[in-house]
Amino acid sequence: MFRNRFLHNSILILLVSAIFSACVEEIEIDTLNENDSSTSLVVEAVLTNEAIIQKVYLSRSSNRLDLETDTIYNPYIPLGTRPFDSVDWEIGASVKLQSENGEEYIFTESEDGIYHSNSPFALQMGVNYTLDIKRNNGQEYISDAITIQGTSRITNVYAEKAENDSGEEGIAIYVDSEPLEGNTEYFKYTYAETYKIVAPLWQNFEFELTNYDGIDDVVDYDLEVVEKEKEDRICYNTVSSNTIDVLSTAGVSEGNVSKHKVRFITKDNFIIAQRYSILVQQQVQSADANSFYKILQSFSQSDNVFSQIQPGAIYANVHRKDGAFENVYGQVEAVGVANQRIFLNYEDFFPEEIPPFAFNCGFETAKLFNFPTDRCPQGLLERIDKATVSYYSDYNEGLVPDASCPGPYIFVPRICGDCTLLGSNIVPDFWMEE
Amino acid sequence: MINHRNNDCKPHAIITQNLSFRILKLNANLLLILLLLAPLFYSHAQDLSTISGQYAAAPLEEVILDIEKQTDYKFYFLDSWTRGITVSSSYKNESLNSVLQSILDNTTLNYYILTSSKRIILLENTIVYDELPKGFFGNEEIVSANSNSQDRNNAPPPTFYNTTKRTKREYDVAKIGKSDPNNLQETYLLTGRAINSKTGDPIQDLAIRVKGTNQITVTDVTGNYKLELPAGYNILSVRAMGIESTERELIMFNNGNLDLLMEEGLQQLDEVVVEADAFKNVEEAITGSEQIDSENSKNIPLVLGERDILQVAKALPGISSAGEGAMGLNVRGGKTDQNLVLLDDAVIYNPQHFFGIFQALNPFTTKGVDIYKGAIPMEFGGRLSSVFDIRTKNGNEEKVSGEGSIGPVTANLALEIPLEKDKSSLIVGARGAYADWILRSLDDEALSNSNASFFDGILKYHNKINEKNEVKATAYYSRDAFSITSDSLYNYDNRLFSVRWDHRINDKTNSALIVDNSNYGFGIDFDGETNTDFNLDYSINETELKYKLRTLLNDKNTLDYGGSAKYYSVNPGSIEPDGDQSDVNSQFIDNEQAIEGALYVGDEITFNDKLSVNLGVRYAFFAAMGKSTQRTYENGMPKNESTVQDTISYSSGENIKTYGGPELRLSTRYLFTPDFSVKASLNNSYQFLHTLSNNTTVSPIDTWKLSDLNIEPQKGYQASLGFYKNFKENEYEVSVEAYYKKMENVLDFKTGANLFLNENVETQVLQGDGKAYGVEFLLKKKSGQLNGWLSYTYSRSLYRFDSEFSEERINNGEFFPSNFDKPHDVSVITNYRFTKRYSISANFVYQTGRPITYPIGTFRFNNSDFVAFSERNEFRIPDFYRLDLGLNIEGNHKKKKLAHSFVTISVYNVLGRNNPYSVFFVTDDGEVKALQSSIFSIPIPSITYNFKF
Repeated sequence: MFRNRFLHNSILILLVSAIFSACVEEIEIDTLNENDSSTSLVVEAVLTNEAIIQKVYLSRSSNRLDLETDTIYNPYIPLGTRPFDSVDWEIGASVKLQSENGEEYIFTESEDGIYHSNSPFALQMGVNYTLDIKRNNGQEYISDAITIQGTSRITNVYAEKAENDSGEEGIAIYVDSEPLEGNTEYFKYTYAETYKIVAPLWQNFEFELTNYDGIDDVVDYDLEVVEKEKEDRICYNTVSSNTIDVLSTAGVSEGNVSKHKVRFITKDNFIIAQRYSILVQQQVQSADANSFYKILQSFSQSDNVFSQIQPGAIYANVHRKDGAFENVYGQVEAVGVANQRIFLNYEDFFPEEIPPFAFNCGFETAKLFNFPTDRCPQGLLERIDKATVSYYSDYNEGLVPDASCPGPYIFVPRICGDCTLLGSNIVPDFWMEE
Repeated sequence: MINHRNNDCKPHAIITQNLSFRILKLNANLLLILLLLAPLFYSHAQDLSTISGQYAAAPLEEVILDIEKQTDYKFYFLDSWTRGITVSSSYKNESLNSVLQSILDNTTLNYYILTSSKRIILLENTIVYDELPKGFFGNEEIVSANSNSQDRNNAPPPTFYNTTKRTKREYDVAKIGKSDPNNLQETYLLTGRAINSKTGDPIQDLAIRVKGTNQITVTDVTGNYKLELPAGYNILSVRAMGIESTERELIMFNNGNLDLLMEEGLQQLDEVVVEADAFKNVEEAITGSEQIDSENSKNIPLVLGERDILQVAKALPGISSAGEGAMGLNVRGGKTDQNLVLLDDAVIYNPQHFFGIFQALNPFTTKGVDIYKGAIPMEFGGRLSSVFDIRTKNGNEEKVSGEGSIGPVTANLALEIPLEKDKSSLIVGARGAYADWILRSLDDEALSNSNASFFDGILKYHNKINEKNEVKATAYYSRDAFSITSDSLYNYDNRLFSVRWDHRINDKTNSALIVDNSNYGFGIDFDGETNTDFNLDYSINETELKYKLRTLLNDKNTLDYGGSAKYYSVNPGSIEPDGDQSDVNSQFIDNEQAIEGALYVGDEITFNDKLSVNLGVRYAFFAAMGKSTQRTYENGMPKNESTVQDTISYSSGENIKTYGGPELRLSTRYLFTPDFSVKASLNNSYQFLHTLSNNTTVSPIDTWKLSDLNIEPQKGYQASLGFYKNFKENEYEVSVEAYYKKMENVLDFKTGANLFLNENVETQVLQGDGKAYGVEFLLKKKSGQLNGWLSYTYSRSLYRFDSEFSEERINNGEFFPSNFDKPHDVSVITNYRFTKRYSISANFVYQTGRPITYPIGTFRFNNSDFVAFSERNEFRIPDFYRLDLGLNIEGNHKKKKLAHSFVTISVYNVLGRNNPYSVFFVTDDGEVKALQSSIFSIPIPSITYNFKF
């Protein structure tokens, strides 16, 4: 448990830089082993004691290090033209879970690399399960026996105003729990947070451009401003946790967890500007799984400048059935879970200020189209065609006083008038307003 | 000495500097020329000039001036020869010859008259031979054995002494007596007294041997000795327990007196000890051993102006560390836990402050360090790679004196207090860092709670009770505290105490009885928001009793023998709740106890002038003892939870497991010529304790673990061979040494091992083999305005962890380079002295980048991308290089000054090279980023003020 603390050492880096000019900088990592085309199977499965559709994720490791995941919004580039995710999913595998009692649960691929159990089922405590995987190349794998160690009840999830290690103010989400049954020494926490998004420069109208054939077509197009048909003022986005948060209460009497911080959001983060909700899940793990996550965490988190953890290969608890050695990454585990959701409003914590929107929104105007001799911003038609803008109003000099090439309309970057870029316009089932 | 005295040369003494220099140096060529020319001149007996004069305690120079006035002769001599000589006599029309004979009678000066050129040459000690010795041209004439006539038939051949052939230059060649042409003998009587140069006490039982003969004498209780020596050039080899062995060269011209001023020091073989700094006129010995003097390292620019002998050690061949700001030293490819670091005989577990950036030793109380990386002396053991024998100074017994320094981050002070004049003294040193104020003054709230501070203090008492007994006692404490996050405070401390009683049992045998205790511990105080506040502690404590003896058996054999016993007690970790709110359960891992012992006997055999052998056997013994609980595991299976067979409980004091065996210590030296030798050594050793660390470099929370039922001791074997040659009157030293080393049962860890507060550490560790080999080259220039050294090491350090079970294998059981495997390592340390007060110095270091485990790919897991790593240490970080410059200004040397000052202005890393210390990988927002950290990425200027009073 102190290991975890020891790893959050950015402060030391700062401290050392203060005195000794130590420096930590990002460097380019080249793609190594380019000719090595062999990639390894990655298995991820967190099977629970809840009667739900259980999921198994199968993918392949990648030789790329320059990951293409890029989440920065660029208002001039249409959505969907940039790679967002670059996972090589393992498709066409057959997956089944077998219990020592002879039960067998079949999983079917519902989308690329994601295998859902055919029916909802819950794992029983104290029963050993093994996961069988047969890849579409015929190679078969089996996991070590996994079993649910115990269960623990979440007694409270609550938010408080707090500061993080760097002294920034924000809201921290804590969890308290107490054990129910079994061996409850090792925990992992995950969460899914949902936040409400309100488009700041929203109007109930939008451009409708028809008969437009591209940039040279300045004659035949039809441009209208029409009433919106879909909801895009208020949206909701749900994001799953992507950090590793493991805890061991070995050595703590009763096995109670008290005020464990699962999430910290700085007060200038727009996700809490409107109403915010977090579903915290506590998973009771086995010691092995806990140590796997700790290693994974120690290899991937900012470290003490002076003493670096010796990294090395970490292998999954999944092996080739024929006994041959092959790198498999990931982990299959059985956990006893407990969930609790809370809602919160920003003004209950920081009444005086509201965090800025995710994007710095402003009014813009432009000619519908430009002639080659014009030295003007991109024409409006082209932008509407690429869906990078939202309608705001007719031209109004007061909104864009210094426009160089004024046109007939005032518009805004699409994200400012259309919340669906940041979330879904469907209200989640669990959502509750006050 | 003559160069500095040019101004004092009187105009009438028209000796050119060149000539005088040559005379002083007794250059054989000049003598030969004089010798060959001699028959061409008139002999002094034929001179007809007469001299009159009356002198009452007149300086010799004046008398010479007077003689010059009365005759047309000019004198040639060196001013320094005549200083202090007075003449009291009167002459009336006496011949030049008899006057000169008379006035020079009681001096060491001889004269020679060149009548044709009207010159009189004065000579110190020697005479000018105006005829060749009999037999010079192979003359078969038989010399009459009982001849006592004045025709010098019995004259021994003149001493032709070529200065470049000298092996030592610790002292100038002593010239004994004045050649008396009327009484030339085959042998002369040398008398004298051996005196401790520091205390002025006579040294008794000092063995003085005439090199190349079996002639030996020992000083008596008052330090006096008598020796009959053949005329001419002789070498005296001098040694005694507790006295630095030396050789004195002398030329016997007549009966005479030579007092031997001896330095206190460790007994060294007749080897040449190399000084880290050539400023002091001391040269010492080397055979896989190095010596660094704390005082003399002051001109070497180091980070933040701190004098640091451990950093200087890294510039010597074969000694390195994983990187800047890495704790611990790696000696000849060994791990950091394989060095025995002793401070006044007691083990100091962590001799460094603040992640290795500073040494935990007060530079002003530290005399220096002897480093043994090859042939380790028999009295030491328990570590595989090296011994760092750090000694504290003895305090000044005459008057209160002190030394201190003020630098940007630290302040040091040392006081020497005499307690009883010429007998006992106390030395007190204290040292602290005040980096906290820098942190607090920064406008960053996060840092306001941070701190990083350290302290060390030392107290040493020293008493020369009488000529037979001497007692020294040292107490030392150091502590580091730093916080990384606002809720946890880390600290570690060393505490040690030692008493040493040196006793002379009889003329031939000396002994030393040592009792010491050392404690190292660290702790973490965690005070966060949750219910998990705790205080966590680790400590290791050892108590040692050591008795060593040295007997001068005879001319050829010197015996070393003795034994030591150590008791270890380790608290492997305990955790306790901090405050009432904490739900942390107290957990105490059983203490570990063990006894380590050793008996040794060895003989230093001098077969002849050329060959000497040091042969010793040391029996090392270790017993792990209860109270303890140990597991047994299925034979031939990996040790893990599922292979546990049995759990055995041992009661207090019950023997759990014993280990041990003989250790061979063999080293030999052969002199081809007095300044060219070859040395070889062979030794093996056991190490019964191990550090547990799963970091790539040493971390302050690494723990020491004793061998037990499941963890076996490490074993090491080393063979080395070296050639040593000195050039140009020892101004230059060159050595080349090669070694090959094997290690067994060295510890490593399963990936991501959890080592702390683990009752069954054996399930987390692996024991494997290591091998290391290398060639070390060292060139030193030890004197002159420019001095320093150049070292180059080519070395490899490889480890292998193999097993039939994949969980116990690293890199498929192949040898892989260790974290500190840096094949090429070049260091240049130079100092250039402009004047007595100003000097500049420069260091340059180049090293191959250290190996690193690099990511070879990524995988998606838990909504994030993670890195998949390569085989262990498959890649290397970029090469390391650094240049440091320093300017040293000595305060003026006025005697009446209150304090003598010394200012160092230095710039560390002048090139601003951003040397990577480590490259690591983080997953941030689902993306993998490679981060490179470096400790000193920009030039670091600093100014340090040192004072001495």
